[in-house]
Amino acid sequence: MIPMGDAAELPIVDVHCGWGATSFAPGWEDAEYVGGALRARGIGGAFLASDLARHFDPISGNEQVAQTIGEHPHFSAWLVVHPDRPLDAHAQMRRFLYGDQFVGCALYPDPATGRPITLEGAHDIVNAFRRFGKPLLIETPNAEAMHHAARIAQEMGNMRIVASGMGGAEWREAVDLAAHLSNLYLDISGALVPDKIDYAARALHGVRKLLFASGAPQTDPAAVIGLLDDLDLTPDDRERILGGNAVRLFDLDAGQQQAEPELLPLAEEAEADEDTPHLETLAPDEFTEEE
Amino acid sequence: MPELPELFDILTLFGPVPPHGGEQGTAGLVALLTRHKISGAAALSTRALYHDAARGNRETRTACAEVSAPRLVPLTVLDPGGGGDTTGARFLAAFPATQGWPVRYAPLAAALRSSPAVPLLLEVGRPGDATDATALLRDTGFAGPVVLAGIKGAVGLSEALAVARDQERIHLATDGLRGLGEIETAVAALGARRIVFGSGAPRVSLGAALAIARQATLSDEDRALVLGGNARRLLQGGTE
Repeated sequence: MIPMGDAAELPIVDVHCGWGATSFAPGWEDAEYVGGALRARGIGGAFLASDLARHFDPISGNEQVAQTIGEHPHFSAWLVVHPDRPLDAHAQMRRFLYGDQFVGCALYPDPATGRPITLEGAHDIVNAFRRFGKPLLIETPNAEAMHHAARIAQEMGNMRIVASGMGGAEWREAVDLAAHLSNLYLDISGALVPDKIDYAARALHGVRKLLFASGAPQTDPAAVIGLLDDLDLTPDDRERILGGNAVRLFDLDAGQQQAEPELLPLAEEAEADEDTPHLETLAPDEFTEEE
Repeated sequence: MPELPELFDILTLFGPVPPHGGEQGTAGLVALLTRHKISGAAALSTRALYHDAARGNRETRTACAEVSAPRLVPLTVLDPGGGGDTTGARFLAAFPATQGWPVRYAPLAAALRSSPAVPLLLEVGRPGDATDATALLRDTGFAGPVVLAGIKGAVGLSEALAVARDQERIHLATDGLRGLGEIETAVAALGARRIVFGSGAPRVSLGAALAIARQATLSDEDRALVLGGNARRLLQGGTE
């Protein structure tokens, strides 16, 4: 990811930003408009996820985002995949995930029923994804979804997983689950409740697993940044949440292209299935647990 | 450089929130308002919202009177159970979604019929609530200005706008508006004089609510109305 325009010095990275117009934000499918809105809020980079892919047509939605980030390399994106469409997902994974601009795959609750992503339902698609060595985002709007995300994190021990939305109003359970799994990270979108950040910082022994995300356009990114203004965070912790943790988790280097993804040889995939989460295999050096 | 508007928050709370508790009294709320340079707020005790309207409303009045800055205006919670006394109330509030009853609810209608024509903050957090609110207001003949609060998402805002468009006395609070373009849309549809800044703090982030209102693409004049001018006008008795 390359920081956007004049915001090159700004450290804020939005790790989960929607892409698609709404009735109240009709410009949210125009890269110039979106880039301008993010810059106005001090955001230097964003990982887009297609709203069309998420709610209706994953193939076309991902194609649109791929075209957008191809023309606007300051954006990165999530590849939205649906467990019920594995062949389509595998094809798009092979096509897009070897490049730099797709940071990983994103899974969302069933758009028709709201049923959360489960280990059983998503096992095949997640297993196919693990060879790309990139993070997986799972939207977790409630505690039930968070429990399933935790099971996936436990099963896929060497995969970095971002639980997006932090369990919504049930953020205490989300934090408690993340505390027990070293490869499970939380983005702080969801409930606009400052207590959840304090609680997470205590339960997780620091803020290293917290990532700034907006979920725009349904939430104004300014709101999630403003949430931090209610708290007495140290400047270091604030910087980590707003961007520093993302830079490390996603191997970003401001102003540089992302490092080539580490592809697991296929022969190692079966062995990786046997893994259980533990720090030595899950985290690069900079992510070792804080004492 | 434009003069900074004097900020007023139309919906704040103080006291413990079940089941997780929290501190008694207004100290935390006052500190939060001071931190964000909010000069006044309408406030209510969580006891009135979650447990006992009569005792909670007394607690609200006493606590607000003890605070000189920022200025706290007591919000009197209407009790559909009949336990609330609205005598002397300057600002009424009803929370059907939070308290688990419908908006079109005979006990609420009865409470409104006997209430003074002061401003009423009405929570409309569920789809259909705002639509029901118009029927409630019509049926009861309640004459005061109304602030719809807890409006959530595109569905909630679309409904609130449809309801408010032809009723000048209906205002929208910003406490539930978190999406890009929502405040701008509300201002464009109803005019800035009918949009009132509110946060629901500290249950919800005051910093977040303020950031959304500050980032909204509004003229300085409109932003000043939304962030404080309208609330002051409403609470001082003007309904124009």
